[in-house]
Amino acid sequence: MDAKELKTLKKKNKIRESKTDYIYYAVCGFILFLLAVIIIYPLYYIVIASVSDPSAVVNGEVWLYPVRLTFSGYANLFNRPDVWRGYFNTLVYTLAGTAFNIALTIPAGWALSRDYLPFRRVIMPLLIITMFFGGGLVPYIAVCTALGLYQNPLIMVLGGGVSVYNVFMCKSFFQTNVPKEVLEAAQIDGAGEVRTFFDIVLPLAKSIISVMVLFYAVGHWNNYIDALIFQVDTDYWPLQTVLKALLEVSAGEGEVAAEQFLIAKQVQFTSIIIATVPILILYPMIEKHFGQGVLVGSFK
Amino acid sequence: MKKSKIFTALMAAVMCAAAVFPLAACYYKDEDEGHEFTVLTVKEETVKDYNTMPVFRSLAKETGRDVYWIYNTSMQYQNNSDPVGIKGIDAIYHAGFSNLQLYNYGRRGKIAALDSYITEKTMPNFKRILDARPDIREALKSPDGHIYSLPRVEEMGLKAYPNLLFINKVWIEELIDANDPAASGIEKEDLQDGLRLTRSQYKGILQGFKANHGSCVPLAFVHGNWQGNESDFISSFGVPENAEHKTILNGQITFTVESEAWFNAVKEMHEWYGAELITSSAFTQTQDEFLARGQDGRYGSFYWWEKDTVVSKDLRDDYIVMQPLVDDATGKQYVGLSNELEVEKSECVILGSCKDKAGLLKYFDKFFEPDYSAQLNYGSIESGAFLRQKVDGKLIPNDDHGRQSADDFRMKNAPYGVVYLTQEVWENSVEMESRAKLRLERLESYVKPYNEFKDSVRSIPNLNYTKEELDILSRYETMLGKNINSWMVNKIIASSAPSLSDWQNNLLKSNKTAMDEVKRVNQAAYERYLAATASA
Amino acid sequence: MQNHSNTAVLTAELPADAAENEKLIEQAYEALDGTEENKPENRNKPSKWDRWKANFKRRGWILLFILPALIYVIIFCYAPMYGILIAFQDYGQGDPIIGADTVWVGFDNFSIFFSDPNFWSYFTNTFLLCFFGFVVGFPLPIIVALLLNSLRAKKVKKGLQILYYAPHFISLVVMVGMLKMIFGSDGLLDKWAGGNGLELFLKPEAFRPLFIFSGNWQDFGWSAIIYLAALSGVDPALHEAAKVDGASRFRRIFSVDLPAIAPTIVMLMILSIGNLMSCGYEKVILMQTDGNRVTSEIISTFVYNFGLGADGKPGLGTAAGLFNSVINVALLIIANFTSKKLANQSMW
Repeated sequence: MDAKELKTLKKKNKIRESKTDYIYYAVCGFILFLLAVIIIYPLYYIVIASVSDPSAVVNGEVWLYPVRLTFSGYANLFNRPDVWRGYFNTLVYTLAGTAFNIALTIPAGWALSRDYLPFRRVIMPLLIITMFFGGGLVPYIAVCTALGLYQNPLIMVLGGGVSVYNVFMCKSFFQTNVPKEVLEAAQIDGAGEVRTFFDIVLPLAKSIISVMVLFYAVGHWNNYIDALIFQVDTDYWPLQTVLKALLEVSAGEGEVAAEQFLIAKQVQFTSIIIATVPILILYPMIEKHFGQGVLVGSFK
Repeated sequence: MKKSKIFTALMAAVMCAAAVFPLAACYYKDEDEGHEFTVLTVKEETVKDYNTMPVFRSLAKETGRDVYWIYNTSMQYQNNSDPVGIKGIDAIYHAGFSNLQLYNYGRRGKIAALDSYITEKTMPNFKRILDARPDIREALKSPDGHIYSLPRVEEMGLKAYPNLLFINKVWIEELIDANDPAASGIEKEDLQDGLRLTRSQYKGILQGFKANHGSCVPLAFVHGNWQGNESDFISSFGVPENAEHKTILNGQITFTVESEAWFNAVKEMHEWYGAELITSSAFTQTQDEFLARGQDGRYGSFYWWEKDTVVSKDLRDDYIVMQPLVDDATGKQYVGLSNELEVEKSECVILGSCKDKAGLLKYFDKFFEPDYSAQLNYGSIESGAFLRQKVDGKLIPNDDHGRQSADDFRMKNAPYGVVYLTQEVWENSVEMESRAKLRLERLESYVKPYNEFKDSVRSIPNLNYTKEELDILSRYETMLGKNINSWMVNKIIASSAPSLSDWQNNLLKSNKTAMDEVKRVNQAAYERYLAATASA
Repeated sequence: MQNHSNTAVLTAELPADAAENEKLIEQAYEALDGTEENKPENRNKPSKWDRWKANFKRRGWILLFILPALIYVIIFCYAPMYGILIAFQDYGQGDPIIGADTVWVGFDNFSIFFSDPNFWSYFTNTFLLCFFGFVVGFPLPIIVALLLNSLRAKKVKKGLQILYYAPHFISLVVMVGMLKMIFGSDGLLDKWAGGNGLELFLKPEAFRPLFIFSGNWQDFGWSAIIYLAALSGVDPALHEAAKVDGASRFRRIFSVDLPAIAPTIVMLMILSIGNLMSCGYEKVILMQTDGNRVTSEIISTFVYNFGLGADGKPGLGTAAGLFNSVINVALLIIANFTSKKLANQSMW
């Protein structure tokens, strides 16, 4: 049907639509608003706790507004060179690591979505098994050590290279969202597998790639433990490990204990803010690509 | 379409970059070379670099050994799955290995057996100590009979008594002034250190606190913590309780939970909890939270080893030390002994790969000399931990650290670790810290003389287990303590009082195997310990 | 009625991978050897092997795409898998996993685990925690995604979504710290309740609700992302057409939106069911108190206690973990089989 026809039809239905939908949008809006309220308070709490006197936080005086406003928590963190270095390291690991993840995951998902993939029946269980069984930390470290990744910051990029879960997510996407007709047309044109993938599949895959970028990037961003178990030198620690180290209160005795406890309490809140705000902006950046590339309207 | 081409090109570039990156970036950390020995220590960033600490410099000077210190923070060290595999180090200071770890690493030669070096020539100090103290020698032995670690010995006679009971005297005065029946029989003159109350008197006073100060915590403690826990409250019923619920009573390894007195104590705690004399935070808070919460003086009474850290400066004088609570039925006072040991087994290990073990051990042997032990434990003379002039041949602690608090100073300046500080040392070579002296005094004047258990109960010493025994212990002990605490806390907070049958069935019967095995193994090890220490 | 039309759309729209493949092969057959009756047991038709070879020659390059991931998985996942052998050993820290003096104990570690007086308690605690978590946590992000997607104000939609997924970045330590601040002793709620408060962190019956509530609070927005991405691919023309038919926005959720994300839902559901017995220990340990241990001691905390403690028995921990994995795989296979039968969708 052409656009004009559609428009008139739409108009016709408009009154009826608005009547029935009125309730729906009201209910929907109410639910989403409620969820927002539930979410917002604890987030708000983190913000006000990060700028309040930590002893007021511990004693439960802070709950509606900042008490004895102070920015010393932020000042403490930003005055530390290791925090800035942590930012830089995290940025490098996240960018390089995510690129590596995407390079492995997207093609794998594509290949798995094709039923003509040779050895498919072997590859599938091979991947699935890894979701459930692992050898444990000690052999994992032994293997990485053999590869020269022990005490090597490169592990922060190469570790967790493929999430089988994500591969299956991609596979499912390609199965539903790449129209057969396009592929057949390409084949008739004589396009090989490689060309098909780069020229046809990838441009269609923007939304899944952006989701994967988000998933992997956040994984890298939040990873603090690898730097510790692989004994990466402190100069190469990512931000989260640096912050974690600041939080660990050394079991001080006596007067120091209470004092350090308070400082650590404040660092808890400030560190969430400084570690989270930069990555939050990633969502609007990738959300732009949602729905893009999918061949809207054609072949229907 | 143009846009998607750019996108494709980008993707391709990213993939290439990702493929090349692993090859391009190759990085290894170069180790500090050129030192005779490299020792890994575990310390926090706030602690000064060992290489600049005067005490280590004078140790190096005196022994002529060139020891370079590198460190891991405790977070790094805990996450290191193979600490003995670290390349380029000769020893680990503050190793903190468990019995099983020592045995395993030792068996495989990853850490060195020290037996052959404990001679007059190489380790004269350590040899003298072991000869004089067969209990320490016994404690250090691994199941295979070898000694794999250097100990830390700091005997002040404090750790066995980790709890003192403090109470807010100002609040009692309020009760007396108001002629509250709860305070009947208590005169204002009684309100000083050493106050002696029966449990029911004490309960009445706490109820008075609750009535007068609605938001207060009448009795505060940290359940499950090694110090400042509820053990001595339970002990007051006539059972030698400690945080592990396990002690030596009349020469027998005993689980306190098997005594009916223990059950009665839990029942009473249930009642006190219902009356809000004990709050739920006692069972959820950490030691730090406990300390932070007490600062504003909301505790009517609390268990801790001192009061200065619990309440802020201006409120300290409000609190007085009490004697152990008097059991109403028997009129007796009881205190249990903790199993916290003053001999820590694996403070330092020498790696099997160390090329000159004798040389390094000669250096570490110096640590056992009183002057060095003291400086390692509190900070060096140069940094101001002790007065420069000895008095009567004794090192005198310097209490004036300017604007720094004593704890702060010690945290930054003292490396702790391998030391030997015993009664003999305190008497002849080093004066005890004033805080420790105060605490000892309090124990001597208000607790120890009144403790009915003082002759019948002792802490479980450092026992020497066989490999089979270690296996049995790790199988049963891991969950046993948790099960006991879980039952206890659930009964205390439950809405109805615990019944005898519940205690017998759900606690004693279901954990019988575990308790019997743990008792059997410990009893056997304890008897061997007695034999070994008696014969020497 | 809605349900009925719904399933109809679902089956029609589903790219029944395996089924379609079969069909294509059938067609290829027919093209090759003509009549349908001759097809079975026809000696002249090319053998399976021949067809496979032809396929490989023509489209084998596709293997290149899976190869990097496969190599990675083999090196980083399969190479360390010899560690599973620890479950059958008396292993001590520092021992080589396969050495001349390795003490093999057969299934001893398993029998120790099974004979633990609290084994069934760990088992049911694990299951109930994961099961309730699934019942609440699986539909919530779907509902949120559907509702968000139906919003017409794009700015509001985007703003809400950022807000919803922000809690995902709060670390577990802080998350549990905040829970304690609100629900714990001396927390906000307890202050209002007065007295000893609600002591939620000491009550065994409060552990699961707290755990699940906080988990969902943190992650529903994050989990909704994948559905939102899938929904963004829905052809607007479908909505227009449904509108013309007089379908309200609410009706269109079922007739247009849900079918579009059905494959994603089914796949994630299979994966979630495969994880019905796995629950990480980190948050549980942080939330555990002596009061709620009755419900909060689960298999993974058992593994943690025995596997990672210096005094522990790594063999016992590994055995318990292995047992857990086997159950998970069984669950996954059952879920996948059911999905194949009911929704004609399979993970493999």
